[in-house]
Formats: sequence, structure tokens, C-alpha cells
Amino acid sequence: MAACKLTIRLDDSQPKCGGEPISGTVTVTTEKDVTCKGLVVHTTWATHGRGNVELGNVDEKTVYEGAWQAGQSYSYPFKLKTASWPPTYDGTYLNVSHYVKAQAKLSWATDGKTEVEYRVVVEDAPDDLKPTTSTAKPMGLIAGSILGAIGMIVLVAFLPMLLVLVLVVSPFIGIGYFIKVVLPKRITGPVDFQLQTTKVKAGQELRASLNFVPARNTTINGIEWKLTCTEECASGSGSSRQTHYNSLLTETRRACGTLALRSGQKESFDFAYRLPNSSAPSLKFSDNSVKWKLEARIDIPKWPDWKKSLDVIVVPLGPVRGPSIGDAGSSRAEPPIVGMAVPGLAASAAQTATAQATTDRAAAEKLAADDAWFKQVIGQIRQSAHDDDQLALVIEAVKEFEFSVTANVEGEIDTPEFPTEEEFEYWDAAEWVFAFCPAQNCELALAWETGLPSHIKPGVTWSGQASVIGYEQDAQRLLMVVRV
Amino acid sequence: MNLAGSVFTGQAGRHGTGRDRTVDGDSVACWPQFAGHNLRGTGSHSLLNFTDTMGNSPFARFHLFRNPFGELSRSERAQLAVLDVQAAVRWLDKPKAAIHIVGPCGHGKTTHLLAIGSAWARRMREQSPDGDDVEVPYVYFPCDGSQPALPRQRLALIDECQRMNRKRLRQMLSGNGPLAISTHDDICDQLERAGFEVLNIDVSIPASTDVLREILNRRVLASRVIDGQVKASFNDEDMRAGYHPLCLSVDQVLALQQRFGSNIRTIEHYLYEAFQRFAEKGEPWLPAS
Repeated sequence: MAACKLTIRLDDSQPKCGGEPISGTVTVTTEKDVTCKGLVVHTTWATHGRGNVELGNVDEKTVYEGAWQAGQSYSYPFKLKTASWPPTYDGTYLNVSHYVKAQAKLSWATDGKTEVEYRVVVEDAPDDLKPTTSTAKPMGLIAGSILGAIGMIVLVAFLPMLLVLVLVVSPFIGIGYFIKVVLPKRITGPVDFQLQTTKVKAGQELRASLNFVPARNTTINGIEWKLTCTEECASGSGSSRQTHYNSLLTETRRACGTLALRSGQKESFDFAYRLPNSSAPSLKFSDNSVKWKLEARIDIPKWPDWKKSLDVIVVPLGPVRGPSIGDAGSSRAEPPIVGMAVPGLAASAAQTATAQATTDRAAAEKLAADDAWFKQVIGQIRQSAHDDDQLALVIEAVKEFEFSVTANVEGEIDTPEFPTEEEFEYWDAAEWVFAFCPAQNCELALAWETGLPSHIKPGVTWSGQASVIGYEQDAQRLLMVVRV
Repeated sequence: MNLAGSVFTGQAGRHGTGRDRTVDGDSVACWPQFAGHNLRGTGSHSLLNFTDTMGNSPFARFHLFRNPFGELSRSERAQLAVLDVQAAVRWLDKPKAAIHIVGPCGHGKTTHLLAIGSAWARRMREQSPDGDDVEVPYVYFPCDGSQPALPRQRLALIDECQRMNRKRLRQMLSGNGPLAISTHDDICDQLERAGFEVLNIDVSIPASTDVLREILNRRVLASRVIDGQVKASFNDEDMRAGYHPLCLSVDQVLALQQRFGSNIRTIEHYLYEAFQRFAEKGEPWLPAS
């Protein structure tokens, strides 16, 4: 058994801007006399999801060393730096979370540990997308020199082998280069494809241009832009290593259809795409990443196409003031698959309509997910209904969950039955109505602890948040308290 | 991620926590127990703290901090292992002892190895005069690239031994142990010829439905947020008595075994996707319930 219990309370629950300090209190409750070799509090970030877990320490402080007496409670305030990169990210295969961790190092006893999660929002990204860690140490000059010398020795030793390898492989590389690069350029001439800026903030426009002067008269099938955002996560290692891909966005737009090119006449095409506010940020770890790419392709009939792909760094929107704060720092509130590329026209009506449709779809999915979760819980309660102990365990475990409920009020009722007299007496002070939830096909007894609102009358449809507090087996009714 | 040469730190436990399927009351998954930890929750105040702090995390509504079926860190894998490794840890007391874990991919070789390392480290910590942490080096042999050096510590955990070159193998066999190795290819004979006393653990034997259910449900329970605290220390009692509405029933686990056989990794991948669809789109959690 652990000799102490740790609890972390943060001073505020607001998301932190990257690098902003976070403060709170660690409370230690001791069961027996112990000597603490160090109560260490630190801020960290960690990835979780389909890929291997990657983590980094950001800041660390030892807030106490010494003895604790049995049965006492001790509090230690702390203030630590948060990471300036990466931000909190909730994806499908990849998530990035930030934690404050506390560990009490005890001799001959199990260390007490706990963590709390907090959210980090950032408004700029480092160019190399390198995460903040306190453990990164630059390589020493001597170590670097030794490694360099070893590298040189290896290179010299294997030079003949390398030369043979180059001779064998280079023709294939040459053929590939000829087909992919040289042949298309015979039609298109040199192509200048570039992003206006490689770093784009969510909610802003991604702009790119494609310019070329055709080398000969010909007709092309068209020019296509493709913007992609993909989560790439590798799990396992060695032969059991697997890379998992999840496409967050694939937006293909035609810059032009069939087009007659005239030798020497410059052709120019612009790409503009307003990224949604909730765009997934570009992220790069060893085994996990979120990659944004913009590809341009010139479709040449009966000839290898010209194709090039550029990396885009998407920076999160950052802290949002006002009503839309729920959208900040997360790709979940509004999925990152939004918008249409409208060359030369930002935030057009079409793009706005698509964004609205996507927001509606996201809201519908969230509603469906809420319903599915409530259904799962009701199913578990009904399955346990014939086993009092199991039912008590299930009810106890779900009491803190809140569910979105819509129910038709049928009338006031007396306080339902509860397993214990104590519970009955407590809930007898509340006002109860009988209601039916059509979405879950479930009868409910709803309790208002602070008195029944005047608009709650038979025939009214009530919607709100409620928590499960019991189940009446005879009436097969779910007992819920309304969260006001 | 290059796992080679990293160090695995074990945590001690003054137990009495006990658990199922243990030989002497000691086991791998011994989380420190919170004094008077209230599994019943503390009412709406803590709920508000939690949801505020987690913001719009997709897992917040389930009172989880992650998809329970994602990849785990090595220390978490050792913590959540449903294994009795006490016999193996005692085996390491013998002179020139070796534990030889053999089996196909996805059946728990690495988990066995890490669990043994964790339990051994805990035992050493209890026996040490100052009660300090004991480091057990974990060495992974990659399928390509350089061969990592073998550590000189008292116990080494060596993963994917079948990829060792002759030099490394000779080096390992010429040592005095103790060793804990995992391999796809049986090298029991070579170890015995080199004078090791070998305990062979074959992980290809499928886990029973009950064990598989416990493995999967431990992942759910260890992903809970309780009173705003995540990854807080859990003990075996929490795990046995704990409940979450997403815990799998026997029927659900049976259906998974029928579909995926005994490959736990494949089952976890399937459950990861199922959980994401459930959390993001409201698709039913699992069909068989």
C-alpha cells in the first residue's frame, strides 16, 4: 500500500498559452510516517494514440524533501513553465496532451504519483517543429569529433563497396529522374511552383503559385491542386513496426481543364485556400506526425505528368477570445476537413457553405456520439438490473457522468425507491417528474434539487444535462438528477 | 524510436495489495494504493474541475484521458501486464539463471520481459539498504542497423534475441547472467550448453477468455480520470473492483477471440478503431454484449 496519496489542484483551469507558467498545489496525505527523498513536480507533454508513446519533460522542481507524519495533510504550491510547442492536439490516431506530474520519492515504499492534464494553445510554431524538452543536450565538441572521426574511418573502409553500390543503383535513379523530371519539362519548360509562405496560420489563407513557360505547343488535360493533411503514426519497432495513416483532409481542385499551351507564352495559376480555424497543426515527432502537403500536377496526355509536392506548416489559431474559445487548440470541435479551394477568391460563398455543412455534420456526429454513450450506459444498467451488487457498482461508477437528455415530461411523481433509507431521505427533498426519453426508448424519473422550474409541466419537452443516480427495477425507470 | 540501450526503472511496492493468480501475494501489477482513495468520486465539484481542465478533449465525456487501446509506454505495459512472474523472478536467484521467452509476434513476449524486469527491480529495491530505485536495462535488437552493446548490470532484459549476430550471441552466452531474453527462435539448447539454468516461457499458448478480458479491461480502468487526476496510482483492488461502462463483457471478449484468435495486438488495434468510431461518430461500442 502506498504510504501517501498525492492530489494536484491547478490554480485555474483555463488553457495555457505555450510557455506561460502554470501554478497549483500538490497536496500530500500520509498514511504512515515516511521520509520523502524528494517531492518532484514537473510539466511534461506526451503523445498517445496508435503510434509509439513519445514524451518530453518541460520543467521540473523539487518542492519538498524531508519527513511526513502519519495522518497529516501537507500542501505545496508550485509554478512551472509550460511547453511552447507542441500544442494540445486531439486527433484520431495521434493526440498530444500536457500534464503536471507529481511524484513523492519514498524509501522502501511505493512512490506516490499523480498527474493532471491541462491544455496548451499556441499561436506560432518553430520552423523545425521541434518539441520543447528540458532533456535535449547539444553534443559536446569532443564527442562530435570522435563520431566524425569514426564516420570518416568507416567511409574510407567501405569506399570500394560504396562505389560499387553507386554504380549499380545510379542507373535506376537516373532512369527514374529522367521519366519523372526531364521528360515532363520537355513539354512544360521549367516550372516554378512555390508557396507564398511555408507557414500558414489556421483560419488564414494558404496561397501558392504555379508558373511555367511551355517549351512547345501542346494541349494538356488540365492542372490539379491537391491539399492533404495526414496523421502518420508508427507503432512497434523492428519487424513488427507498422505505420498507420489517417487522412484528415484530401482536397482536390482543378486549376484548369483542357488547355492549349503555346510555346514561350507564360502560364500562371494561383491557389488560395482558407484553412479552417480548427485545422490540425503540423506536428513532427520521431514516430508520430501530422503532415500538410500541397501537390500540383500538370496532366500531360500520353506523357509523364509533371508533379511536385511542397510541405506546408500549419500553425494553430492560438488563444481565441470571446465565444469561440471552445474551438481553440483542438481539431475536434470542428473537424479539420473543411473548405474548398477557390483560386484567387478567399472565403467565397461556396467555401462558407461547405464550412457550414461541415460544422453541421460535426454537430450531428457529436450528438450521435452523446446518444451512443448514454445508450451504452443505459444498456450496462439494464444488464445489471437483476444483480443488486453489480447494479450498485455500475450506478456508483456512472454517477459523475453527465448526459445530454431530451425527454417528454408526463407529470409529477413521488420520490422513487432507493436502495437505502439515507439515499431516499436525501432525494426526498428534491422534486420529481416522470418523463420519457424517446431517443433512448427509456422511462426516466427526473429530480430537480433546487425546486421544479415553472415551465416544467406535463406535455413539455425538456432538454438538458442530467446524471444517473439510480435505477428503479420494478418500474424499469432510470433515476436522474438534473444538472442546473 | 530507438529503444536500444534504454533503462527501465522498477518501482518498489510494499504490497499486501495482492492479486489473482499470484504465487506469494506479490505480482507485477502492484500500483501504489492511495490511502482511503475514494473510487466513488467526490461529486459535482470534481467533475467541474475535470471537465474544465480537460476542455474539449474527446475523451472527457467518458472520464478517460485517452483511447484505452492505444500504444502504451514500456513502464505502463509492465504495470498493466496480467501475468504471474513471481516464479520467474525467483528463478533469477539461481546462479547463471536465464529466462527464455519464446513465441510469435503479438503474443506478449516484450510484455513478459518488461513485467519480469519490473518485478525484479521492485524486489531488489526492497532488499537494498537505502531503498533506492534499481535500474534494469532493456536492450532491443533492431532488425537492421547496429547491434546494441550488452549491458553489464546484474540483470539485462534482451528483446528480439534472434537478431543478435554471432559476436553478440557469444558475448551473451559467455556471461554469468542472470538473463531475461525474448526471441522468436528457440535458443534454449544454446543457453543450456553454455551452462545456464533456463526457465522456458512459451507465450504462444492462447490467453483464456478471462485473462484476455482482464488484460483489456485493465487498459480501460487505467485510462480513467478519477477526481481530476490522470494516471494516478492504481492498485490491484481498484482493478478488480473497478468498473467503467466501456469495460468488456465475457461475450464481447469471446467474440473477439473467435474473430482474431490469440493475437492480442490485433485485438487492441481493432478496439482502438472501434473506440474512435464510438467517440467520434456515435457508432455502437461493440456488437456482442
